[in-house]
Amino acid sequence: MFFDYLMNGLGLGAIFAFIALGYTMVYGIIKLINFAHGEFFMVGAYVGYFCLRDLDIERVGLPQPLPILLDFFVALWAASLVAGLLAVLTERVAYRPVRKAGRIAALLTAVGVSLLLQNIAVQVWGANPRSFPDPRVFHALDDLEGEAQANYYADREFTTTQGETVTEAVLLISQGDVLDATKRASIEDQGFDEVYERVTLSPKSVQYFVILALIGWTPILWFLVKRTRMGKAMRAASEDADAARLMGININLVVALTFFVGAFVAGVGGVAYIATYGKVEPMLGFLPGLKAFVAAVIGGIGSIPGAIIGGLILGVAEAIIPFVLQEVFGWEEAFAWKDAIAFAFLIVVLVVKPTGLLGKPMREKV
Amino acid sequence: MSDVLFSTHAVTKRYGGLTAVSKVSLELHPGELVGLIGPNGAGKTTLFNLITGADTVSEGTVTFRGEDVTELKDYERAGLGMARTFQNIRLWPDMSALDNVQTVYQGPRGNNGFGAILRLPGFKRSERRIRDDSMKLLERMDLAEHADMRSVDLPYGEQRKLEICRALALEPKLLLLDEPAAGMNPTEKTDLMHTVEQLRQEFDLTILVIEHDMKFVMGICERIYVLDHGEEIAHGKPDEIKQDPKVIEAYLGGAE
Repeated sequence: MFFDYLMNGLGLGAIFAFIALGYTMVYGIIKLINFAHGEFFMVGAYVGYFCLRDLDIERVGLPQPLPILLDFFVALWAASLVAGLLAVLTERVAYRPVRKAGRIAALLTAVGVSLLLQNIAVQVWGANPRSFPDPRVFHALDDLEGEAQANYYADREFTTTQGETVTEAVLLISQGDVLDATKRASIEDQGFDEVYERVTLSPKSVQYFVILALIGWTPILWFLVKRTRMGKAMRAASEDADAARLMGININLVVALTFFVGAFVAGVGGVAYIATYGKVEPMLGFLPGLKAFVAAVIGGIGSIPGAIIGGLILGVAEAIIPFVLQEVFGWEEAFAWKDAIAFAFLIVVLVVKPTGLLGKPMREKV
Repeated sequence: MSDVLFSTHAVTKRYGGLTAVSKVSLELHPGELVGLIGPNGAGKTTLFNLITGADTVSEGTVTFRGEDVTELKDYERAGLGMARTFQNIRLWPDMSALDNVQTVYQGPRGNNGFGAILRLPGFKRSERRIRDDSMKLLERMDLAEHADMRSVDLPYGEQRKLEICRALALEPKLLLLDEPAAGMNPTEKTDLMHTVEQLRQEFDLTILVIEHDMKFVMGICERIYVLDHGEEIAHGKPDEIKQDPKVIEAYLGGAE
């Protein structure tokens, strides 16, 4: 029980970490709190949603679990690339022109971009939440012999009152049913030519996936920042951008790439989020985005390991603290208070350690 | 034209009503070591900023290697081989001495991007070359033993030397030194003087140096420009400058 909550927390924390990385990298380099970063995450989640819904790699007929892995592989890349490119575009169009106008102007621009992207998402994709479709693996009808090993579905298209064509999955055979001649005939009578087995990707397996993904990404980012030329240029730009320019470093390019990388990993978080929580909506970026920002602050904003640790700590705190309050102290409503608890936790951390866990104290010029 | 490496023509910088630099024309020939002096607030550092592109000129042109660079961005000018040090040290404090140098080396060698990750063998090779060359530079300036120290932890004089090191990593043609000897003791100053002269030979540099220490400037500069209130008031050989009444007046204060 406790372990389940811990895993919930780590899975959620890993998602926070993926988003927090972008906040912290961008802040590290241009001292901007990019409030639109949550929206890059949201757009990544939508792109992942469309990939998983519409790709239908399953129809190719590869053996399981290849199709589902391929689905996620494509969804992750697409979500990350689109989020990354959107971030580069945003930086170019909205942030670069105001970069010299001071931090307040840049901050307000970021808030504006955030609202703009949310509203564009409402117009383009509708305000209603969409639930994440389960990945499917198709089987020809003939393949079904005897007792069903899983739930088997078929597609049925219908038109909603708003004129939207929706594909609905119809349950034909549930697990353990026997597919006898009558049943087979009734299915054929209904005109279904394709029956598929629904592979439910449990939130639990997604949690393992997202934690593994974070473990995989950490050394990549470390290598990127510590070992590559671009990473060194990023660090130089974050420590003294003017000096970096005069030493031949193209800051605009460095900033654009920082935005790209930050939003790229947020895209990973977006796909993980919909796979865990099962829905997308235009306001998706708000609360996870805000909490990821909190995670970045807890870890010490500007610090990449800080963002990862801060994310995990916040995720675990959000899952474990209400659990303890409920189980140990008998407070029934503890889980309803989890967001308040997360932000209270931020305040406690900042009171104890104002620079965050791994943040550097501000150097003062004497 | 070909024997002028660098020149400014009637460069002017105005901030609102204040003219910080007024119609200054400099000309540097390849291999020269030229001084730029003047009382505090004379506009020397502003002129450096205009030369390097850190600030934009209000009027006038800057020419480097036969090309009008007035419209070029600071990092583009740096890429053409124009490197500088700063009056108040501007190293990247949390990066190691070696990384300070390596980060700059990668610029002129091009290939400054994520493509580096994909082409691993070539990347490793060029990375090793950059590392080796950076170490050589650090050795040249007697900083090799501090290569892995954070630059902010280096002693002050070593930080000044590291800044020169970093500037050399740009493989510059023109090196602009902004008060390189500031805050150094007399022995360190003399050492630095010799080092600067030697570096000019070794790296085939043309050097423009701002310095308040007259012994330093008179000791190594072949020619000197004197600025006061943003204007060039004198220009010539060290001996001529020493005698120039306008210079003496600017430094000691005239009857106003």
